[in-house]
Amino acid sequence: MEKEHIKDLLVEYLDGLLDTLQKDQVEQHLSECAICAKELEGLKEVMNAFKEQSPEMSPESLRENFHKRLDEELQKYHKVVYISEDKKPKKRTVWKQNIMRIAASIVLLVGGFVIGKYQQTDTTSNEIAVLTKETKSVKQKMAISLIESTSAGKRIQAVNSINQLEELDPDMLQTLANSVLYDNNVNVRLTAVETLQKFIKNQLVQKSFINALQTEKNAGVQIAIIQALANLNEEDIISPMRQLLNDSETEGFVKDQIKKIVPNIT
Amino acid sequence: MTDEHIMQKVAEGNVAMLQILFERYHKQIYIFLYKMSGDKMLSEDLTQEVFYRLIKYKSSYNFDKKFVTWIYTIARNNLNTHYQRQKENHLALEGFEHKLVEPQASKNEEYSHLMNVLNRMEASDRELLILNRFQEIKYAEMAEILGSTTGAVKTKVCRALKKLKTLYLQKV
Repeated sequence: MEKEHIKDLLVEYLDGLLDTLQKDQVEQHLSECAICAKELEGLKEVMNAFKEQSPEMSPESLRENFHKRLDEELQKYHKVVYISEDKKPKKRTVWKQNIMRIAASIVLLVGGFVIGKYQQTDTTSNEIAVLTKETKSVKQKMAISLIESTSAGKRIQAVNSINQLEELDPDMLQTLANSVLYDNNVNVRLTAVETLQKFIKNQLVQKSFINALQTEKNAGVQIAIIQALANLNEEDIISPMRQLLNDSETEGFVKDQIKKIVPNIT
Repeated sequence: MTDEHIMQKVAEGNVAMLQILFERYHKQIYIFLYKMSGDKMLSEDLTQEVFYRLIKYKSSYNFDKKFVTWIYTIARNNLNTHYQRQKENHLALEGFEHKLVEPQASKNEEYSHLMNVLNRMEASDRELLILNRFQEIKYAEMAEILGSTTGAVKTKVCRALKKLKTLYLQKV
């Protein structure tokens, strides 16, 4: 085999991209030609230098700014759809229906809380059961009502489509964790919590849930997070739970749920 | 889910799905731009800009093409546009004679020997090596990004690696 021809194959040889025949030819030649063998050593050294180069960190602010921009875009998208569909009367009814559905969903959601609040004389677990059931049906209604519309609510669809996967890679976990922490829509946060609780053994999920507990203001989402955290070590969860317990804005039934899960809490 | 599948959803209006692509790609795009420019602030701005453009031009995504080639094409264009603007400003402000000043030619103690050698190479060779070695982009995908053929890219990468090898081994 020609010497020059071999030299052109050395990089691919080192990358393992050659077929068996070519590989054999290169190795045959290398055993006979000291110049090419030396060339190979030099290439190996410089190619290893690339592998040993320590990876740079990307700044955290990238993610924050991206999410800010994405939120703006979702809002804008919402408006654009509304205006453009004004001109298409056919679709407008669909849009109106969706608004009604969203409104109905909100009524149901609020209704769930009201029921939960006024039945406080009943046992806590009953209230939680009602609330969980209500939010589940609300969630389903939301998903159904929004599946056809191009609005910010599509986020739920996104989370749900992720939910259908059996295993999640770290990117998806991170994405969902971000939804739990940062999404401005209650139902998106709730859906994300429900999807992630299957992966509660994962450190990232635990961390995001504990962080979310400190910022989350919605009782339904709070309950979902508390229940998901119930199986973890008491030490890890007691501090955020206590904080929530002592917050004057926390709903009574949420506090009861905390006391049930962490009986030693003060 | 593949990148292409997700981007298709984004193009259809499910903009929130872009979060997944952001998590998959923002680090490597940042590192690509940083290795090309050596400027952290600039790389952050340009990376941000890449994802803004994905949002803005989402409907122009061609599903037959790999997502990875699209996002790198955008990143390269951003960097080139930046250099072009900088050049124009430079010319307008300081006159013609300064335009040949190459700020990256000087040695930087913070960088590894490899990075210092890379920075001494021509931008086109540097780009080939960064894409192929650091970013591990396949030859066929590089060909699409660079508007060339797989065979030509393969040859160019080999040549660039040989040049780098000579410079690298000169002083170890």
